[in-house]
Amino acid sequence: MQFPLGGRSAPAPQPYAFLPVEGENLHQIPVGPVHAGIIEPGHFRFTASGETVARLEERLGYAHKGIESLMAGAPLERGARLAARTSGDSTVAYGIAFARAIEAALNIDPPPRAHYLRALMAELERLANHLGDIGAICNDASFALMHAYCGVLRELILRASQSCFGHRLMMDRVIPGGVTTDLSSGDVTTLRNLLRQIKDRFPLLIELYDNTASLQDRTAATGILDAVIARRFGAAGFVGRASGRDFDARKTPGYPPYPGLDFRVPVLTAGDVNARIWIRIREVEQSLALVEQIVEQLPQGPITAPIETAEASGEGLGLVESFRGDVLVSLRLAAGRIVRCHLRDPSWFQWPLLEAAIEGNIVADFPLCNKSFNCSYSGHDA
Amino acid sequence: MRRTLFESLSRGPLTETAPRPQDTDIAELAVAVERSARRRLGRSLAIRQVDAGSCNGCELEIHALTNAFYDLERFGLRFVASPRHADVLLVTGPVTKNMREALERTYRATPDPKWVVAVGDCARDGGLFAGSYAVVGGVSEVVPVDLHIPGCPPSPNHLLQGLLALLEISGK
Repeated sequence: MQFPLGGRSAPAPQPYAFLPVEGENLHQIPVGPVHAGIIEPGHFRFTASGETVARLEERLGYAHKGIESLMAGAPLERGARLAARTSGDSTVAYGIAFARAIEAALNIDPPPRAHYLRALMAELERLANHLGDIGAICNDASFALMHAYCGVLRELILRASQSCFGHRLMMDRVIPGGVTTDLSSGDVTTLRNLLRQIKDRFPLLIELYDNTASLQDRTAATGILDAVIARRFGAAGFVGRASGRDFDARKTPGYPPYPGLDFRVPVLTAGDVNARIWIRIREVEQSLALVEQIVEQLPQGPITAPIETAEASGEGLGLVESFRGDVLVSLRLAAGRIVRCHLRDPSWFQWPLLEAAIEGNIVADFPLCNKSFNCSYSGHDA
Repeated sequence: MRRTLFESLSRGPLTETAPRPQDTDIAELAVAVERSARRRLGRSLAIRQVDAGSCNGCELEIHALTNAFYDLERFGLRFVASPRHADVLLVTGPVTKNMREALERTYRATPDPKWVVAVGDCARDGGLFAGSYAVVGGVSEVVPVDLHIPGCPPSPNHLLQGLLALLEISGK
């Protein structure tokens, strides 16, 4: 047996041995890979004492598509399309990270308008995911009203994305050198209308979440992630920021156009499901402000820089803040093709933390905790 | 909460009119129906969604089917938690080798009569991931498929067209 990408021989595969748990009155609950809802595949092995979770062990890899093997030897355009499908809900962030890695390798500077359009798409993606998540987390506590209203706002964003960029998820719209689609003045009006609709309705939803005591009872003090562990694992995005770790790739190291835009990165310390919801709420507010600034300050000019790919060689790195946290793309080019490309999803550091956060909680609170983390299965498995 | 509910009552529903099913979908399904005897199931179908290793893009658009604009349940279509409750398997993804057994077992756990709908370009033949050491290459390589809905990902309207065609055929 061979390792797929290496020269070394691999040991024969063994059946997976879950960690043993000792104690009285313990039972195991296996969940997945086919889960009850419309969700990606993964296996969760719970060891429970009554209702309380003594240990959760995750077993992932069901969505492993061998993306790195497909990247090896691929032309740049195919590489961009593969990167965009590592995790479909972060397709814009992955597209930008891949493009920036190529641009770093080839010393290319996209024009200013391209940077602003990329940020616009990235913030729309962040908004759509956060609004969908806030509703979905509440839905996992059976509060369907919030889910319905948040679903409407998410749909409005996807329709505006379709109208402005030609694809609801804006897949394949970011390419090395720039972007594929420009904004018309009609598109600017569409975006201003979208902002107004969300700003009108979102405060009501925040109030609804905050004032529903039975919902607060479920989310507060549930699934607490310790700040020390969050820092040790370098937990990204809202998972880290709800537990005191204030890292955001748009600020550190930062990339254009964000140094020229005015926004804050919200941080909380409670580390529970409630905190992870509030971080998303605050980030929605920040992203709305960012979209407004981008639309007002959009510079004139071309939307791509020319790229000479025939004999392209070099190494490059891209670090971009997706809605989940920082996406890293590292690649090496030679003779116009990708030699190797590594795509690192922020979920890589968040999945293990879910095991820590669920400990001591009841099994019924697992959907709530899992959805509040919303890690990517496909991004992790690649 | 009361205020929100009253406001929505006064504003009226957001639900849009349904799209018409495509003739190509009806044609493909008519062939599938010839192949075996299917009892009339009435006008409702229970759907079990299975992710066989997709990038999650198709899942997002399948989720959108349950929002207020598309409102899948008004057609008698609903998602169920277990394959044992299902009439239809809605499968996404290129079928990774790691999901092959789970997909086969889910198919066998679904009682007859059943249909399999493969959603997305990956589900047709592995799509962009075809040829990878980790991928089987299309749902039809693992279980018999009655309808393919292409797209990357297919929009909720395209998904609805396919599912409504299925509803028409399954009622015959």
